[in-house]
Amino acid sequence: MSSLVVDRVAAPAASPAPGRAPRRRPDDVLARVDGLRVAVNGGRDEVLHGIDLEVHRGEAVGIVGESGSGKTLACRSLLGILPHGAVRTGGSLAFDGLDLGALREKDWHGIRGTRISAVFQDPASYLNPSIRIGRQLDEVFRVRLGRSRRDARVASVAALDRLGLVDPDRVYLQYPFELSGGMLQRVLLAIALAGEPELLIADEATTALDVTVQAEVLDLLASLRETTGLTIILVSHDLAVVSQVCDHVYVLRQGLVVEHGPTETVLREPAHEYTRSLLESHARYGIERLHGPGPSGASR
Amino acid sequence: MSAPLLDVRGVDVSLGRLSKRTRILHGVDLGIAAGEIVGLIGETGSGKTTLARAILGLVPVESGSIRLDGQDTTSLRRGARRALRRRGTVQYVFQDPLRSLDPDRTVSESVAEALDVRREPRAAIRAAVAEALELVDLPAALATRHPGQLSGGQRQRVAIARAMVASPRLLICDEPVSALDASSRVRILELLQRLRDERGLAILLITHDLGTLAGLADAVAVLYRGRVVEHGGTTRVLTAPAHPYTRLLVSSVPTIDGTGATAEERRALRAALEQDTPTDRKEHAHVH
Repeated sequence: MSSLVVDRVAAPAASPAPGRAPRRRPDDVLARVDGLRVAVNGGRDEVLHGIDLEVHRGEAVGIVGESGSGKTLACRSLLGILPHGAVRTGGSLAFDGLDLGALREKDWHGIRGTRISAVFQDPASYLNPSIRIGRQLDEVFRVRLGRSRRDARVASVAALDRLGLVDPDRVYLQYPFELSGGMLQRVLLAIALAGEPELLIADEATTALDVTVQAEVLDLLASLRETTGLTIILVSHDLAVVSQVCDHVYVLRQGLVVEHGPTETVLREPAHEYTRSLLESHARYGIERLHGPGPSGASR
Repeated sequence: MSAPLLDVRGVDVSLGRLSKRTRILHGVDLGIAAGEIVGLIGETGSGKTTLARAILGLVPVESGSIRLDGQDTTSLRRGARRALRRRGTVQYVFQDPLRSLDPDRTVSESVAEALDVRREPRAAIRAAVAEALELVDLPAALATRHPGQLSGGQRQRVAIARAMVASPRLLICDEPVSALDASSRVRILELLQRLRDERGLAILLITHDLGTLAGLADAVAVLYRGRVVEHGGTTRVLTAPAHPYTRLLVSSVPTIDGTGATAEERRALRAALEQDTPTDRKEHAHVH
C-alpha cells in the first residue's frame, strides 16, 4: 500500500485526498441525486420514479435492490452513460457542486473515468481480449493523465501491484483470457482507480466472483477507502455484501427508494416490508443462522 | 445410513486431449442417501460441474466407481447408459433456465420433453405435465407461455418441473438460485426443501454460495482443486471447518450481522492456504 501514497504525491494532478471525515455533515456532500426520473423505450416508460441519494466524502454508500429496481440506471445517470433509449426525464444530479445534468458530452471527459469511475459485473467484457493487460492500462495513464510511454508502464505495474496482483510484471504482459475473474476485476479496479477518482461506483462488481475472491475484492475496497479516502457507491443485490462494506444504505424497489439510513439502523430496525423480507431470507437461508442461538426449523 | 442412493468412490476424471489433458477430479468420494440434501461447494474450476456430469454419465470416468441404486454406471455401455438416463432416475437443473429452456417451446412442451422421449400416451403426458406444474406451484395459465415471457424464478420452476416429471430419485441442481433475486431465491429453496420432504427426493446442490446451504443441506462436501477436502454435517462444516480452504470459504461469506471474520483473519487464512497448496490460481481459471 505504500506505493499508493508515493504515487499520489508524485502525480501531477493529484486530487485532494479527502480523508475520513466524520459521517454525514451537511457540508461535505460529494454527490447528490434529487428526484431523479429516468424513462426507457425512448422516454415512454418511466422506471425511476424520483429517487434521492446523497453521498458524502469518504463514505461508502450501498444501494441494494433486485434486478429491475433501477439501481444500475441510477449509477449510470451519475456517470452520464444511460443505455440507448433511456432518458432522464426529471430531477437533478450534482457532483462536488457541479450540475452533471447540464454537462455536454465533451464536458464529461474531465469527470467520467477521472473524477467518477466505475467497475461493473463482468470484467472480461470491458477489456479488449486481443490486447495485453499492460497496454490497456498504459492507455489510461497516457490518455487520461498524459503520461509518457515509459512513465505509463511504471505506473501500470505499480497500479497492478497495489491492487494485490501477484507478479505484476507478468500480469502486465498477459492477455485477459489468461487471468481469472478475480484478477480481471482487480485489473478493472486498477483502470478505474488510475485517474485517482474521488468517487468509485462498483455496480455488482463482485457478483460474478467466487465467494473467497469476492471477499478479497471487498477487503481491497475497504482498505483503499482507508488509505486514500476514496468515496464508494456499492451496488448489490446482496444485502450482506452491502452491510459488510457500507456506512449508509439505500434500499431500492421498483424505481423508488423505499428506505435508507445508516447501515446498522436499517439492519436493526428495517422500516420497509421489503427490507424485512431481505433480512428474513438471510435469517432463514444464510450463514448467519449458524451464528445465532442455533438452527431451528425443519433442517437438522 | 443404509446403502446410499448415490455412491461415488475414488473417481478420477481427466478432460482434454493429448498434451492438454488435465486431471479434473482426483479420487472423489461422495455418498447421498434417499431424501438427503447434500451441498457440493467449491470455487470456479474446482470440478463441481465435472463431478455432476460424471454422475450423469456425460464425461468418461478414468477410475473409481459411481453407483446409482447399487448399479455401477461407469461400466455401462452406451445403449445401457442411454436407457438409464431415459428412465430418469437422475435429473439435472441448470443455473440459468433461460439458456437451458428452449425459447421456442411453451412451458408445457418443455416439461413434456422427458416424457415424449419415453413415447408415453398423450393423455398421460398431459396429466403428468399438469401435475408437475402444480407440484412446483406454477399456475396452469403459464403452461402456454414461452420462457421469455416468464420471470427468472418462474423459469427456474419450469426447469424443476421438467426434471420432476420424470419422477427422479436424485436431482442435481447446479447453482439453481445464483441467477435469481433474493425473494425468488428463497421460494426456490423452499420448493427444493418441500420436494425432499414430500417426495423423499435426494438432492445434490452445487453452489459456490455457502449461505444457500446453511438452511437447506444436511451435509456438505467441499471440493477444492478436484479433491473433496472436507465432508460432513452442514452445521459442523460451517461452524467448525477443518480444511484451510473451508476455513477461508466460511470466513469469506459476507454476513449481515457483522459476525463474520475480519479482513486480517481472512488474510491469515489465505496465507495458510497458499502454504498448503503452493500453486497458481490461474491454472484453474479456465476449467469449470
